[in-house]
Amino acid sequence: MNVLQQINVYDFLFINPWPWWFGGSLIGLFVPFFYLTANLPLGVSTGYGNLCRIAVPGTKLEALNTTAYRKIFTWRVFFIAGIILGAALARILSGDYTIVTEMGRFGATVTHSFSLSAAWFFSGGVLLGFGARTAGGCPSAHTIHGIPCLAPSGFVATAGFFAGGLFAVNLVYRILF
Amino acid sequence: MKRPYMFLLPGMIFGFLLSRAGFSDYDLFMDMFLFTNLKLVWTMFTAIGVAMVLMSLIRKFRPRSLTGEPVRIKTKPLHRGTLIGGVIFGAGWGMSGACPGTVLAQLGEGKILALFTFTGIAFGVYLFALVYPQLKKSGIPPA
Repeated sequence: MNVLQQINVYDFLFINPWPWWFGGSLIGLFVPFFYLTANLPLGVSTGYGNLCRIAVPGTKLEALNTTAYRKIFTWRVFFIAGIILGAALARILSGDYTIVTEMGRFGATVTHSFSLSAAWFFSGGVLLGFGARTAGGCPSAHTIHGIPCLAPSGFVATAGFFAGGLFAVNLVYRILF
Repeated sequence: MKRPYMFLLPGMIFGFLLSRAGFSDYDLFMDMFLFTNLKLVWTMFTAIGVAMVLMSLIRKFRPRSLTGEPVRIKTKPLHRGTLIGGVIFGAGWGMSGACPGTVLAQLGEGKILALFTFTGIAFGVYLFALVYPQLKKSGIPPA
């Protein structure tokens, strides 16, 4: 019985998809955790500027020379690397780590060609990067961090994120394909 | 956490949470925007609710962070770019089923196509920096 219970806990934590209340609570805890340990607001997209600085070291562009980018290898670069490793760990602990060339149902619905998919996701990424810097942040900083901190920018940006997402997805899946 | 490399650890925790909570799942994002499965909406609401309660306690009791200083809550300014950029971002979110944080989780999970989203984001950030002088002149975002 004891062994069975242990297996169930392992399955719950590492194998089965987390129920919304469990995943949501832990992600919600991360915001105060980050303040209490590092005294920093959660945020990811600024770190992509650090990556740009690594790719184009001598850039004179003003937006890549703000105080956030005075140093290149700041905490943000390592935070980004950590997210990649943490997600890899999640798959490894589930016992099913596989490299996949599919992205959910995208390939089955929109296109079967890998290069077209690649171009599609690259274009989506460009909008994400450009939009995040224009809005001053991504859903980490604006939605998960900004709204709980009662920042007006968090509410406005989140409304924008969802408006854009609703438009794009319904255009693609209900009208075009 | 004094040294930058120490942030690998909270990064790993966050990446683990994003992956396990379903935020790296392209299909779940599509379902959310098509209203066919709202799991991620409930997850997001729960996260916002939990964080809101705890952040209000932090605001009230002003505890010290492990860095030794009192916790200082820093939020982003609101300007015209917040909404405009938000909508542009949202379109990219809908196209890729990822955002700058979750695409990293997808990468870690071994989803090859996430590499293109990731490269695209870095390119988009560079593009923003290229046109930033013009944007600034039109007030999006203010200098």
